Amino acid sequence: MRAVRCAACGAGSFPPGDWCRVCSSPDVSSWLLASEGRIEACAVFDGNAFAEIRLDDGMLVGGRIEPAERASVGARVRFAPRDGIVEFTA
Amino acid sequence: MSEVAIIGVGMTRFTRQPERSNQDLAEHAISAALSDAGVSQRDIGAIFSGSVRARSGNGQRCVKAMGFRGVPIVNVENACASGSTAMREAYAWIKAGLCDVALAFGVESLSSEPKGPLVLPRGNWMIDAGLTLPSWYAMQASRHMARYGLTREQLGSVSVKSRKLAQHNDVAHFRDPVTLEDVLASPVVADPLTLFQCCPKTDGSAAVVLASEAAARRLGATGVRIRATALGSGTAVFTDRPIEIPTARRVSIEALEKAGIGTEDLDVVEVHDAFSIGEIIYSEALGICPPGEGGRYAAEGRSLPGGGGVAVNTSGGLLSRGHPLGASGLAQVAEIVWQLRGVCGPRQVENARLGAVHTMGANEFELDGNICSVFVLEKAAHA
Repeated sequence: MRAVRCAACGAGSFPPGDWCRVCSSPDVSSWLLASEGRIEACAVFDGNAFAEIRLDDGMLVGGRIEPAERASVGARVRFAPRDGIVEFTA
Repeated sequence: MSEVAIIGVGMTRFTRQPERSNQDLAEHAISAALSDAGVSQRDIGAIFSGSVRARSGNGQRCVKAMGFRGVPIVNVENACASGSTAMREAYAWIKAGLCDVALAFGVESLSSEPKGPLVLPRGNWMIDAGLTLPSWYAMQASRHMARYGLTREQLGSVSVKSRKLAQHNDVAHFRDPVTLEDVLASPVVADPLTLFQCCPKTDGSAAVVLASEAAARRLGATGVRIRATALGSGTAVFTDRPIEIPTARRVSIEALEKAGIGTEDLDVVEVHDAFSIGEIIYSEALGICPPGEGGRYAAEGRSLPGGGGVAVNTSGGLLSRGHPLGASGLAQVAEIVWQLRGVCGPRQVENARLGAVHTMGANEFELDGNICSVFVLEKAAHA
């Protein structure tokens, strides 16, 4: 999973784009995110778990959690991409 | 520069009324607001219409039979803050001298949409992965529980308080009181949020008439003064930098600073409780209680009129009055105007002089709250 890193202010932005989302500089380059992290906030609706995850490199990202019943604040998760959906396994 | 006053407010009952068209609902709210202000269509110099789900040209469609004579009509879509943003545009036009009396209204018909959470547009990576509005709010609740120890009972107490006040509000969607047990035993929507902690799909309209000070005097109208307004958008959530100040807080501070007051000067506020957790985090954002204390503030009854704090959502809020998206912001404004006029009966806050309206709009989840609108309203000195 990739993000961009800003050469001007050093911040990471996800999803990757043409500008830094923190300082608006266009001087960004692609960067491989850490593949593991910890759930900071999560909720389950209709069997679907969605979470905000603090990756081990400090980036906050959002994604689906499988299996849904293992989604809880503080749980460790690992990135496992599926069909274009950002998904993590708990 | 001229001050701007709200000289009239009006709304339909907020309820399930799918047989009524947007036009029918809006005509009712607009005529109520015009008559409340003591003005006629001829006095209105511009119209601002707020809706989220309506087809293009909704403002023109809604007022076409009312005899407005060709004045500018601007359609505003700004998610749940559409009505609030329409009012801010009316305010800005009067401030800029483009007109001296303006009408803002909001209208929405939601009850005929599919049951369950509001259907959000696909093609967004988070929505495609299964994120819904109740789950987004439930995520905020999970963070609050982990960080501050917010309890399920504190969350549920927001809905109990909301119904307790809404039974005295004859425009509210839900007017039957509920107990904490009822709230916690209602079906789980997105844990920890149960059904009674989620706003209903409501049909309704609300309208306000704004005037410059000079025009209000000419028309013999008494107004509630708009002391300050602030509107902001969210900043990026998914970075490795902490959000220095959440959008809901940043815009609140801006409005309070422009008004030259502190939160402690407010008597009554309406905040965006589309879900129970909303009232908690947005009360904190306005500074009504310290960060992390919103749950306790609600559970201890301090948000009630006479509860010893700033009264919150005396109308029953979005949870009980209902949430017809584009109309909600102006219904919030109507409640504060009624509070400042002292006409709220059993839900009245004694001697209310200063109030605030805090509206959020959210469905772009890469941003920390995609829209926040805050108004500070003040009882006219001679009223």
